[in-house]
Amino acid sequence: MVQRMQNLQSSDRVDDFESLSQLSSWNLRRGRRYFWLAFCIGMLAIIICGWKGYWAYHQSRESLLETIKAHNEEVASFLAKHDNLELEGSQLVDSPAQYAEGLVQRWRQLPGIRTNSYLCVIGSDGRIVAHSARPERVGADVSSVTLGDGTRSPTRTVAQLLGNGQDWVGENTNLQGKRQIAAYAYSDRFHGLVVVHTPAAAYDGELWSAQRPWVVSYCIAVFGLWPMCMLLAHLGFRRYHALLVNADRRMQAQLSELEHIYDTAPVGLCLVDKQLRFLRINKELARIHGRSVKQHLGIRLRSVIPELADRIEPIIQQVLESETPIRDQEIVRHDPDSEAGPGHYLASFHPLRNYRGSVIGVGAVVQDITERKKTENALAKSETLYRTVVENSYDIINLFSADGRVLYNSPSIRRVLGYEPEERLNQRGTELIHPDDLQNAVAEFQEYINLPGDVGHFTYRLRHKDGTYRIVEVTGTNLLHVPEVKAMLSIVRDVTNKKQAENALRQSEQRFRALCTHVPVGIFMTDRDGNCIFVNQQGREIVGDAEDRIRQRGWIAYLHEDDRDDVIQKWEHHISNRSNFSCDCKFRTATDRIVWIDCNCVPLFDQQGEYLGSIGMMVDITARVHYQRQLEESENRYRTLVENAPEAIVVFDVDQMRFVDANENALRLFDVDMQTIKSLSPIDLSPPKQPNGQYSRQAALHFIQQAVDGFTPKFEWLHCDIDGNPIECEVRLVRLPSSKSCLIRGSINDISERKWAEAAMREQQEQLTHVSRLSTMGEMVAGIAHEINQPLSSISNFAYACSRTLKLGRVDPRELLEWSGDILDEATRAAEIIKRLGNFTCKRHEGKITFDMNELVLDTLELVSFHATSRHVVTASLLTDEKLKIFADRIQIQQVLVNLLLNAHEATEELATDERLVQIKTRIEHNQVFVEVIDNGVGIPPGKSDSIFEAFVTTKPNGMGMGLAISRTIIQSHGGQLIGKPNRGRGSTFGFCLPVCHQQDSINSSQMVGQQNAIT
Amino acid sequence: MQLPDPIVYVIDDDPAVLKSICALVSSFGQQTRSFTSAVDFLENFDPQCAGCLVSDVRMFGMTGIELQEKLIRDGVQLPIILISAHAEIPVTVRAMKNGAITFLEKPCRDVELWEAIQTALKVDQQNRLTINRRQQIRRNIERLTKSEKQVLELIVEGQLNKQIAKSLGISLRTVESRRHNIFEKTQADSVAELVAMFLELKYADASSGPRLTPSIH
Repeated sequence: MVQRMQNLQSSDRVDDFESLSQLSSWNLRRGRRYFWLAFCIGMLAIIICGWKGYWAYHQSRESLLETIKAHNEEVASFLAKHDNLELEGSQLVDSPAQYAEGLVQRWRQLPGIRTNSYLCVIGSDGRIVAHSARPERVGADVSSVTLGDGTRSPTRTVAQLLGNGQDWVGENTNLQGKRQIAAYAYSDRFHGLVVVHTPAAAYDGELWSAQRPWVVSYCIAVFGLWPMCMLLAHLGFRRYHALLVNADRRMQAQLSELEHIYDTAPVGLCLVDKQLRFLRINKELARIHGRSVKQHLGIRLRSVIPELADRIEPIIQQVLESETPIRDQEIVRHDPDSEAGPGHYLASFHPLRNYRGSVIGVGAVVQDITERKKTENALAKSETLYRTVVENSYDIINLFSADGRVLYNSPSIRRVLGYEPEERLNQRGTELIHPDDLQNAVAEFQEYINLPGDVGHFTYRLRHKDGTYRIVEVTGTNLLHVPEVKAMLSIVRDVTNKKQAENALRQSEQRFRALCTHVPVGIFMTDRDGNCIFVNQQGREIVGDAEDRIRQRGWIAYLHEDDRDDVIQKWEHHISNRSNFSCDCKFRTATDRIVWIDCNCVPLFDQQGEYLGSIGMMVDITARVHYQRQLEESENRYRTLVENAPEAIVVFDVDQMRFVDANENALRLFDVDMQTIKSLSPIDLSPPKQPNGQYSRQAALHFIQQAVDGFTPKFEWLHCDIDGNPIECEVRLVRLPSSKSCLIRGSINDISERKWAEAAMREQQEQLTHVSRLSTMGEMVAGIAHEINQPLSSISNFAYACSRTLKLGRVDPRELLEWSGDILDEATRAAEIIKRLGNFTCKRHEGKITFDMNELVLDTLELVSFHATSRHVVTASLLTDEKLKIFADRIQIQQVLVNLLLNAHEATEELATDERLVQIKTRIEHNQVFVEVIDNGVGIPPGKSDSIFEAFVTTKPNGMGMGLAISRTIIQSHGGQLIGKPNRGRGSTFGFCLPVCHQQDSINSSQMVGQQNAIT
Repeated sequence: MQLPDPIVYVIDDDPAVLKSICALVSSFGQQTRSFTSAVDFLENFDPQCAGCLVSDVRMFGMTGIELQEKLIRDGVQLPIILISAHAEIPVTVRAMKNGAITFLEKPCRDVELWEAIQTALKVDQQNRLTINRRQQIRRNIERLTKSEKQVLELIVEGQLNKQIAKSLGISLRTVESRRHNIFEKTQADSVAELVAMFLELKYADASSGPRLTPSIH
């Protein structure tokens, strides 16, 4: 048991105190219950056994007694009655005594008589007559014996029985005080009683044997079961008691341990009830609060730490409400008394529950982290310091893991390589290395990784984020063995600029060397005495000798004999005066070839101004000399060419506003000599005004400016010779490619004759167009007749109406007035029609004017309106809203329009009368006015689209084939174009475009256009 | 029969000419209605109204000749006087063939125009009387039953009663009774008058369009 207890203790050592105490109380209760159960069962067994034993004894005694009683009664009565009969015939019945003796004899003969039973016979006088067992008792008076066992029969005396002749049976106590069962049977024979007695001793033995098992079991129950139960109960009780005691002891121990931990814990602990009063608090927290433990208990939180109550109370309330812990609340306590600055505390709050699980308060764990905070701050400062140092370092500080991944990048990587520090984390450091350097770098890295503490220096190229490569010097330190670092430290320094500078220097040196070697001029150096100390490849080639021979012989040896004296004199002057040397001279080379040389030489000084020698350059100008000679010849040739050109050619200097050159033809044209023309300007050889009214000076400057700007203007110009006779010319200006001064070459053609021919042709053209107009009129004559007839008819009708009314005398003056007004209107209308026709057919030539195209279109539509109406052609005009100013011959353009419209009307004749449609559109596009007449008629016959504009080509049965040809001539002479094309669907489109006339330069440009067109 | 006052319809697309013609006709005391186009006229005129038409030939849209042909197609018997400023012979012939009253050239004399109008109005009156009479005859004939119409046709062919009875397979008495009914309903006094009525109707229908096909069958 003790062993088990110890096991229990050791195994339950870590058990929770509460569960142990629970177990103990439970065990105690159970032990007590067992004890009482055992006690009750024992008592019950005793009671049952006792009662059962007693009952069995009682039952068996009763039945035995009854048996004996019945037997006794039966025997007694048998003897009393039946023996009497048997005895009647015998001789022995003389006296009662004899009779009694006979009875006894009989009794003894009876089978089954118990040996311990006896018979006695009581005579009528109450005395014992015979006694089978104790004959000495004969004669004893037994009349006073009281019979009765108090149960079945009333108490009697023997005397009463004798007196009444009654039988009695029962248990009674005899005179000797012994219990016996007796049966008294009254015998009428001798009026006495025959009594059979069975003494108690005779049946008590039987009784005992009957009740013995019960007694035994009773005894067992009393002395065996009950003590056993009691013992077991006792043992159980003892065991559980011991457990309880043990548990209690352990609880006490644990409690004291807990108390100890609680008090000595380095964190503040406290329990607060729902009213926020301290229930418990340990010393640490009390110390923090600056009070003793006793000064806390039962006191409200607010009165202990008023400065923090507002911070803590809500937290506690929240814990109480939510019943969940709130951990790690940092609380700062500003203690005005302390000089150490604010106290930092870390507090956790958890709900406190009773054994039923309901929250009864809050437990708090408070940790003083003031020191830690201070340390942290100090650490943070230190960290910031180091970090600042690292981050502001111009070099990149890297940490690599053993497998080459970047663990840390200082921010200077942004400055040096353009990456964000985070971007490169966990990337392989080798990714940035230039592919050419990669192999070396990896090999070096592998070597260096195996040497702890080793410091290595590498140089390679790293890729900048913009894709360029930077040359860096890397100082690597293997710190893999340092447990705090466990990385490789590398410091990357950008040395690109340095390297580049080095490279640049090297390249510069190489360049100058190459320059010196490959420069196509000879370069030489002399010492201060004029001796040659260096000559480059080209120089050697020029003189055709080796360098050492040149040094040996000196320059003078190569000079051509013609120039030698002159050059030597110059050279000596150069040496003595330290002045620049320059000369052209001939060399006779080692191969006896004569070479022209242009030689320049400058003195060379050191920093102190000391003369060091001369450095010189010589150029082989043999080819140039030859070329110059050729050029002179060529110039002479070309001059001859210009002189003999068929046109007049002049060259004009813009800056001086003077002619600088002129050929023979020009001199002849202007009738001047060369000397005179060089003092003149083009304006001097022009009349004040040009035929188009412009001032010559203004116009000439305009064209000259164009030429200066690089154009090649070509224009007509009226010149005059030196005597003022006008000369019509065509002038073409070209700027000469000369850098010194701005020269312009003018080619002048006399075009007086051509002009005359053109004028004649134009007149012919006008006549032709007029004829064509008249012909067009002929086509329209039927319509015109109708159109004039209309107003005439109205006039006559109104006149008839007037006269009839007047004749009938039903004069209504208002009606007459109205009619006369109508007559007037109609007459005006007729006059207008005739006027319009007259305008169209008149031969008078107005010349070009500026007008609006839309107005002309509307006017023309009016003119051909009857033609359209008579042919049932619907005319739709789609005119643009823009102003379509053009500068042209109005009648000629109208003629073209009429022509196109009439053609369009005729083209639709094949169609049904309600389908004929002619549209006229105007628009402005690319500075051109477009007029298009679109019909939906037969269209242009296939294959004739090219020839329709030619003269005498017609698709109409009655046409002459002149309309489109003349129209084209008119439009082209206005700088436009006549267009004819089949429509995508039905019919065709004819139209023309003319250049727009801008208001401000209408006169200038259009005249120019006109002139240019006339020329081309 | 009382006819309403005749109206002279004037069509010309030139408003001034139109007004002048109307003024001229009005000065003769004749009622006029003016239209600026043939379509306008077709939409607005009343065929029941007596009158005549004075139309220009060359007009935008429908010409005078086309209007004339359209009216004939529609069965409107309105007498037409055509006026043109430029009378071409083919057009004139076509107009006259189509039954124009006359074809005047602009400018025309007032008397010419007035005479033409008067002629036209007379013709119109005649036409309308004829049409009324024919309508009366048609109404009468339409009152006949189908069997009576059969008998009528045979009478017009000139068959005697016996022949009619034989060819129709009916009794002579029946033919007589039907014949009596026919005379009663058509209000004819003699067989000759009956035949004249029948023929007039027949030829009138034959000369006009299909709309007026005799409905005897």
